[in-house]
Amino acid sequence: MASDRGVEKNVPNQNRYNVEPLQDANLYFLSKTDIQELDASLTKYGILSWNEIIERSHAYAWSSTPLNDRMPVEAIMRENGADDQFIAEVTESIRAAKELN
Amino acid sequence: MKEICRGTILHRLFQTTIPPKPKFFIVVGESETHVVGYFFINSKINGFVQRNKALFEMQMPIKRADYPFLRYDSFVGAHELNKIDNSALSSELSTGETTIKGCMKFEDMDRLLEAARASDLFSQYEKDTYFR
Repeated sequence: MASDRGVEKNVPNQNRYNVEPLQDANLYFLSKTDIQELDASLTKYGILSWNEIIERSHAYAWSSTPLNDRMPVEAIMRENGADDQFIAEVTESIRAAKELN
Repeated sequence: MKEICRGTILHRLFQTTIPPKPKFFIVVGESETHVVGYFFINSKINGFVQRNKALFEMQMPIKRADYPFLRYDSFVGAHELNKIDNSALSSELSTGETTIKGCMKFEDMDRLLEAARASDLFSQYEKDTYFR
């Protein structure tokens, strides 16, 4: 696919598991907090083994979502212990923005 | 299309919030590709936002005395820039689903944009496009 070729051009496989960027990322579309969260996530999960990553990413939100569907943010929040009221508050603007579009 | 511009405050009844509720939102800018950026206005700040310093700092209080269509003193939730195509918003206005309620005072809009331009929550693209 064309999109795969695009990825390979920028991050060719070094071996089966690792890739290395050939150019700097265009950060124009990311906020400082976006970058902080991406860095934090890479630091936290980048050192885990394949099995550890599978274990952490296949809990309630994954198991309650049909295969290959997008995991609802509500399910991700519930997996982390959020109750109905918290979920309703936090997702209010997400639901409203989606409805408006 | 009815005139909307930076500072226009709009109102709509949302059916998918829990429970369904009317909400105000304010236009902050428009891209060259005619995508309108807006912030929601909330009567209170939810607990999640209160606990996150960067999000909490972007809640701008506005007074009912200045905006009599509001039921309560409220907050512009300027932590989350939402976007809608101008054509979709135009359709909302023509059907009456969304209505124009007023316009933000110049000094409030100025304060809001100044905070948004300085915030780490937004990309340079969003700042150049919607807050310039």
